[in-house]
Amino acid sequence: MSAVIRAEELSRWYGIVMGLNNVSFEIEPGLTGVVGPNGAGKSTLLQIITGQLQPSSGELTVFGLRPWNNPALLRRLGYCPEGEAMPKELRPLDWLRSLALLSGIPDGDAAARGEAVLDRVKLPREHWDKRMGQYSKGMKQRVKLAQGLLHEPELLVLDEPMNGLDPMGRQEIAQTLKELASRGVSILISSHILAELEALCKNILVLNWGRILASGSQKEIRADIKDWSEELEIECDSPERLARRLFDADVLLGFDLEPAAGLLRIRVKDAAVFYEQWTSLLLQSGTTIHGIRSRSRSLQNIYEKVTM
Amino acid sequence: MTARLPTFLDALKAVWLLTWKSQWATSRLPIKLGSLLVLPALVLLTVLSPEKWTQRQNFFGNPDAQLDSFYRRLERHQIPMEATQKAGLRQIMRDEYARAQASWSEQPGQSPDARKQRLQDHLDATGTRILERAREFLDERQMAEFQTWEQRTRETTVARLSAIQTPWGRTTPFYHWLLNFYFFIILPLTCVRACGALIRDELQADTLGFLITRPVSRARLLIVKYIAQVLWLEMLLLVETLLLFATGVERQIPGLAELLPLLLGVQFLAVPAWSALGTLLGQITSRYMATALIYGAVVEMGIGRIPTNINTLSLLRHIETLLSRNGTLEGIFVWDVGGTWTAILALVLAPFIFVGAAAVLFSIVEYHASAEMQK
Repeated sequence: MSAVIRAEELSRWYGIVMGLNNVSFEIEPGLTGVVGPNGAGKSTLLQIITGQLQPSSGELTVFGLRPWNNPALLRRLGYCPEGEAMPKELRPLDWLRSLALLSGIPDGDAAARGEAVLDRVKLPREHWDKRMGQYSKGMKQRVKLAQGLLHEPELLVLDEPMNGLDPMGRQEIAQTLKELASRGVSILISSHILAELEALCKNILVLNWGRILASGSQKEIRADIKDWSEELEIECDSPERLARRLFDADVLLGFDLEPAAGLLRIRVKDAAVFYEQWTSLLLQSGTTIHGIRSRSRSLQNIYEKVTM
Repeated sequence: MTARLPTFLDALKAVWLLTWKSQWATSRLPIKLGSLLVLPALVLLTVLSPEKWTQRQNFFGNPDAQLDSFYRRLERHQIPMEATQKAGLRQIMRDEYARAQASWSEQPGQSPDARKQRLQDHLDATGTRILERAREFLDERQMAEFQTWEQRTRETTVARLSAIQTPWGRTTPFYHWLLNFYFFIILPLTCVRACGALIRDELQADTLGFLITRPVSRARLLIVKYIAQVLWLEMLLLVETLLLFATGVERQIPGLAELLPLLLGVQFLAVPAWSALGTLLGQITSRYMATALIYGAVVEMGIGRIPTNINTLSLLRHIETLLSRNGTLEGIFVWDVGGTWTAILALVLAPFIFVGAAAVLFSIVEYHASAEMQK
């Protein structure tokens, strides 16, 4: 499967401030999440992808084309920026009709297209006649998403689209994005909240300080970090005895005991070595296990590790 | 539905819709209408109707003040005047000065000597009428003193008025409002402000991303934004000009019918030229208004006044050249003008040059870094 977006040694700086630092990656078709804390370089990356910024060095191509000032490529892209900025004195249909014309949709179809996308993002019709300055944050997010869908792009780039949405709204937008993805639209979606993307995206790109810390499918990211310290929370009848046995076997970086609660929290040195010896060490300790929870197996935990 | 690449007209229509729908928003309407009415209101306040002008006129002098000096003269010569005599004489003077004022008009292009002779003849006729009517109220001694005084006053008035080449008459303030203030200051600054903000305002509002991610080249986007803004400005400023002329008609300013087509024609050329300058300045700097003022001082007021070919760079000079075709304006304003066709050509070419340069800049420069850094 050919990559939709390909970056090679891509850097972007603003004066002495680094936005992106020599990153290389490929993004496959489908739903891909870009995650990182504020200032990680997400918006910079998305703006280079949508032709608003130029790379300072390196190269980025989308569908094999450079995005800057490239109408032939921009016809295939949809973009939903971060923030709430919109022409507040306009009504959504007026705005969408203009943007539809600017996207190459014939005048006769532009108004109908505006209505169709507002329906798709589930903006209630009773709000269509209001000026956008009167809209709530959630309603603005929906209209912003709608304008990105006007010309049925092959790649939709969304910068923090869930901001300001209530849980129901998030679910509805996520459903809309899944529907689009099922029709073959590639979607690149950024967020600083990993949980939003974990359930939605097949692939994740983890950014911080302008660098890519991890990329690939959720499974691949977990595999990439197999060497990182694993954290386990073990519920057992004798946490002290189990801790002593594991410590003697030299597989721990550290541990915390809560004897009263029957809890042992351990940080293992090498996950692969630890799991190889785990069963025998447990038997040797003679401890009865009531439960084990991995604190490292959720993407959120991985994200926190790599971005903190 | 597969979107095609938008044509130039598609893009223009889209941006035009955005432009006028934003400008015509209810929240902005009162400010827009209010700003359109400010200048006509100022004209109404400062330009008098012929009737009021006649009442307050002092072009030929204040008859009451002049008569006071005559009364003092009689007192020095111990020739007293009755109150009825004074009232009668005052009425005659007021009537005849008002009549002289109403029947006097400046003739554009007239030589100073010819104008002085006209003034002399005009005031001689007025003086003759005053003397004839005054005999009815004055005795022989009073009349002799009055004749001497009136003759001297008349000579002083002719000398005073001859020294003023273009006297600040009733209609002159109207033309200064119309041209020196509106056409040469307000109109250019309005155009520069509106078009300098084409991209800068979008940047500030953080809405540029919605436009530059559309399948339209950056140069084309800037050009259609410029054209849409110019269309809007042409309409807005047409309304303002017509309001000013309506004010002039209300104040009975002569010669407006001949001036209106010329002024509208020149305005039609000037608006795109000033707007194009604003567009370019807006691409060069975020402080485009300050830059425009510096440009105005250096190029329009400085280089444009140098009597060599370099003054061709001044847009104002070309506009003055075209306006000088009107006789009334030529009589009021002293302009160093050039050739008519050169002026037309310069005003037609200026938008292509300025907007072309702005489009090239917009195709190269991001105009996004500062907004990005604020995030």
